[in-house]
Amino acid sequence: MSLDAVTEAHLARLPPGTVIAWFGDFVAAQRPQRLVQAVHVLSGWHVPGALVLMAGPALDPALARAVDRYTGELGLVGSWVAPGAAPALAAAFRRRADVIVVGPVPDRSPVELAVALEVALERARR
Amino acid sequence: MDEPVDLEALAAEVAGTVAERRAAGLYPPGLEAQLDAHFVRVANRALETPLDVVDRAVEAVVARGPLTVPDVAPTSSYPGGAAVHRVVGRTVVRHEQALVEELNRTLSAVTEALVAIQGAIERLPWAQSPELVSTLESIDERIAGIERRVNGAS
Repeated sequence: MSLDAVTEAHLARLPPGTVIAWFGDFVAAQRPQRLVQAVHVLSGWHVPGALVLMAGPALDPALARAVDRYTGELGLVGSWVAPGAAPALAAAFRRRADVIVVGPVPDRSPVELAVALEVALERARR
Repeated sequence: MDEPVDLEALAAEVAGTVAERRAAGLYPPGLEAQLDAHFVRVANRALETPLDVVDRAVEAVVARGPLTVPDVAPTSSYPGGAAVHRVVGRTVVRHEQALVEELNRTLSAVTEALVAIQGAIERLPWAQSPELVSTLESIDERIAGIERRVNGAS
């Protein structure tokens, strides 16, 4: 299975050291929107250009749509929310990720999560 | 990077750094609350266009249909009451009919106005795209936020 050229080109253009990938279920209990908030803070205060790739089953389709719209409204350019992503796309997200987060996002402040992601990116660069 | 990070452990590890940055005023007060409120607005925002709203209003008015004078049976539990009801009914029915006809003329005017609004909205391309309406509302919110900050109100 292979991704189309446009998708590959999009992922290849993402700036290095900026990509957070999340894999989980789009349900309220996993708080995917909290990670979007954290990446917004990360991008705005610590790592300009940081963005998020999200993939997982859209168990709550309304929440998945809301997370997608929210990501756009926060101006996280280049981010990609892909509920129900095909395995090939999820695999491409995983390959491109600088930092991977899986499952429920901790119920913490987006600021705390942003600083945690900043540290994770720094360590990934070493 | 193949292994997922333990975000909870990392967040606990950086708690001191976060506290220092907060104390230094790096983050605007109320940032988290603003972000949460924004998400709630996005999640609750109905993907409904202005045209959907007007369509529903037109349907409701049309479904109401023309008004009629109710046919009340001239019955009574009092002796002779039925006869009184018949006499009174004949007296007032003409007035009721005139009132109902006036109400029906008003209802027709309201329906025509709504249909005209419906037609005008149908000619606006943006009004039929829920995503575009959502985006425009978002831009409005962001402009309002910028205005509040510029005016020092937030």
